[in-house]
Amino acid sequence: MKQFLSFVRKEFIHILRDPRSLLILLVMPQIMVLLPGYVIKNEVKDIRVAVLDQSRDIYTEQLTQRLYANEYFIGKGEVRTEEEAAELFKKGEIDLVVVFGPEFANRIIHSQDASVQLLADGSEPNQASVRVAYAQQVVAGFQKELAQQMAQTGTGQPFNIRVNSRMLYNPQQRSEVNFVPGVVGMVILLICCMMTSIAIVREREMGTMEILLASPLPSIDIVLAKLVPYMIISLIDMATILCLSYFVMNVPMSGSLMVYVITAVIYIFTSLMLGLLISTVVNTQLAAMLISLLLIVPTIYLSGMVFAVESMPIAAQIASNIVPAKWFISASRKIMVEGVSMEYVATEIRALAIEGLVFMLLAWRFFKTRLA
Amino acid sequence: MTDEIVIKAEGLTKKFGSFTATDHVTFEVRKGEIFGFLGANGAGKTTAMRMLCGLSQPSEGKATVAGYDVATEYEQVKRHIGYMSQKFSLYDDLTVEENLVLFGGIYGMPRNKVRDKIAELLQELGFEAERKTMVKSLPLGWKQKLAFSLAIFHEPSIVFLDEPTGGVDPVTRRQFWELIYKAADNGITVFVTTHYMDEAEYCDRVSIMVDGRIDALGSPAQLKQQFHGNSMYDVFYALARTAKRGD
Amino acid sequence: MKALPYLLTKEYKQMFRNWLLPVVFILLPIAMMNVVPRIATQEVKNLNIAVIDCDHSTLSSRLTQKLQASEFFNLYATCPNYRTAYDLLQEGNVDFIVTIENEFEHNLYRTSGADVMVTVNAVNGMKGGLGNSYLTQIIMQYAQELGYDNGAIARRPVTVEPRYLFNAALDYKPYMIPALMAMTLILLVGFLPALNVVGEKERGTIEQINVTPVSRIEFILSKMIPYWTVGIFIVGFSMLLAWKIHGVTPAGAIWMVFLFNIVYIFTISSLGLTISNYSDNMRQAAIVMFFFIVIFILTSGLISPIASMPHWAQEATRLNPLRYIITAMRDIYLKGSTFFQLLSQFLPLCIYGVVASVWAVISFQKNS
Repeated sequence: MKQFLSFVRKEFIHILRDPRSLLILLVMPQIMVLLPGYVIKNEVKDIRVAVLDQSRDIYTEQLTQRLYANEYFIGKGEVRTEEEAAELFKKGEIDLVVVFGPEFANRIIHSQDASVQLLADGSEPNQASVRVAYAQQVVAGFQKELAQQMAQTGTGQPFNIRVNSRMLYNPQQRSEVNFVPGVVGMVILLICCMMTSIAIVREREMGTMEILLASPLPSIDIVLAKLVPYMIISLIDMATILCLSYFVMNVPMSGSLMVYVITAVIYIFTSLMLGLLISTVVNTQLAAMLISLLLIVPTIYLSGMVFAVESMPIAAQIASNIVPAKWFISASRKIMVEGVSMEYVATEIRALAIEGLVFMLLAWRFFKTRLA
Repeated sequence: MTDEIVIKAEGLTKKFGSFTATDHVTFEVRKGEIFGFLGANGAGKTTAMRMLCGLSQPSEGKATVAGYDVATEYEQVKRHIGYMSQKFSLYDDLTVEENLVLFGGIYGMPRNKVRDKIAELLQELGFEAERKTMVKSLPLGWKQKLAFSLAIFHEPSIVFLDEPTGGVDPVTRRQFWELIYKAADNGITVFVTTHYMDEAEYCDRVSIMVDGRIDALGSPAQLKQQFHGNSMYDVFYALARTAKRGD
Repeated sequence: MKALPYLLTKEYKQMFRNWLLPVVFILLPIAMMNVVPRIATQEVKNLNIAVIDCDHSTLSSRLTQKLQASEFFNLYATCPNYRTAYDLLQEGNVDFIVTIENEFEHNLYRTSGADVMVTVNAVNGMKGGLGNSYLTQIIMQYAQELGYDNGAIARRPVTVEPRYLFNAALDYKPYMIPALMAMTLILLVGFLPALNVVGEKERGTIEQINVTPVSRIEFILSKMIPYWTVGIFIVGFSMLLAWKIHGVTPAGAIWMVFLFNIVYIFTISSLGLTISNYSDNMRQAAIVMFFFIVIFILTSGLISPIASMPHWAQEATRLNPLRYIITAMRDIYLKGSTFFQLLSQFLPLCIYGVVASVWAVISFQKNS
């Protein structure tokens, strides 16, 4: 045991001697957490809107005023033709153009076929649909008043359905609530998988691995000694991220902290084993880095960290079950935000543990083959 | 050996913060000499050599190599020297021939000259069969010889060797020194650092560094007499005992 | 520059002798262009819902059917009570619960309105928000249909038609693909040459070059040029893949795609090199570069729009080269913008490139 600890100490010294990397390993996760909270948002605001008015009557005037007054929009004046509008779009100076057809007011009153066209910049699909939705709301509000004025529908509307929505867990739909569990998952993966595999392979590349292997300490201990510092760094990171998100960003920890920590530890174990596995199959640091990178890309996409998994093709959904981060992120969202008890995350914990064991066995196999 | 002085160091000093790696070192090397730059690990040999090669700025003092000041004219210095480092910096993933062509080209040697020299070199070393072999598959001793040949390929007037014979058996080392003698006979000045004291005997003159200073300077015979030793080991031991740095 | 051709020969040979590199150059664009656009959609669909029908009337069943028929939603289960539905939500099997009150039909005909409650798992704010808004729309449309069918409401006086310029179907792929190209490039052309240089520093082979008369610029060019050529290949290859696999082609000029990317490649390789000049070994360089890459990607507009960021953050993204290339590429691909229209992206990128390359050269020290 004492020998094992002395190896662990050596590994720590390696890391501490490189303060720049250590700093980044400790600070980068915090930034990755703060960014979604303060910088990365999905809300749509400051919609730059212009008006193409082919009618110029009292109703178009009113509608235009309402648009400009609306808090979501920034009025950018008029355009005369569609070509002018297209030019502004291409320059990136405008987001939405509201087109009023000719004889707008007339049509509203007499033929009831007035139309408003909303030209939106389709190059940003999600943004476009939300901008259109907001504009539609302004028009709908206007219409309702008109309809009441024209006494079409009377006092109350039969066949009226009132929809009451209750947003659970994250009523303000803050993006950080969704992102923070994902960020923790990413950070742990990076540190435990990429850094450890690089550390182990580095030793091999430098040639010092053989010296260590020749020592009386069982080779498994040498490798484990490499894992310990990174495990500790990732635990520190996890703790600091949680504190930061809880105290500064008001991300809840509604469930049991204990359950969360258990899940996290299992995930850390799985990631370390993955890092170990990678180190047994490559020979150069460069290769270890490239493979880790290639693993991180699917993690970002398939783990549900950023993109919702159900919206993906079936094949992708199946593939995402192999990504350890997916289980962790799912479990941590449930625990942190929904506050569920342990039985609701049993599936995730089981999946993580199985994966961890599989990686470990594979790593063991490859390691043995190497030595032989 | 002529009396022309090709390397001249005066009070050459390098400090890293409060640590003085090389401490006011002064010596001269004559053209065609084999000059051994000895000392224990950590004594400051590599630091001194790096300054002479134009890789590092002196903190104090000055030195000239091939007539150029190492502090201000280091790029000129580099045109006139060859270098072989501890790690035998050959490119492992290039063949023998490719390494030679590369460095020949870098020093501006015309292509046909390069071609001829390669043929000549391979024959001398007995490497013809290895022309297209990747350097990484060569045994260590061959790599060393190749690295040395590479260092003098462009016919520099001075060649710097930093611990060139680490890790090989005495016979291979001896063979290596044959190459050094040959180069010296052809007028190339050889500046070699080593911590193998038996190699010190092969040099025309040696200096011994202790704690960053030169504590002994002269031919092996002179030093043995001065320090009352039978071999260079004795000389070194007498000096090294007073050392505060290194192993 | 005499040494440059020889150095370049060496670099190209080394690059292709290492089997891993050419494989990555081919595989990564394929993975990015093929797999990612299919997966990385921020479209919301196939959301699982549970419906609790407390009324069991004709009208309530019709509403349930309508919900089921929607392409956005997947009727996971109909539940007898809230408890069972909530269990499903907690388990993660559904994200929305629609509760239809038990006097639904009666209230629709007789009183001022019926109530439907929508419970949303809003952990993923965007998914929750969009899903809620689709559900509300479907339910409101249903109410309107009932109104028309029963003669209670006349046609609306004003119809609103949305028209989406440049991307009528709001297809997510042309939106993602240009950005993915930028991401592939920064990984390969920003990261790798820098690692290459640090690797030589670590192994000691860089000393051998430092000691020769090879100038800084020659050395740097010899490292960069192979990766620049790889970068240009990747741009072309990615465009080809995007065309063949997804049928996505640029609305704008192809030469502009190359021009902007060339400046971009120049910039990121210089940035990578600068970082490696300040690093002693590969691990350090990798961590620092990774840090920058993550921050650049997150704040580039790839994942969430720059316009949604707080104003100080929007200003800060001016320092992000990815912002310019992604905006430019999206505009070229989708809007067919001309060069002059995109000057506001091109100029900053050029300035960035110049500053980065000068810094890279200055910070590279042959002699310390």
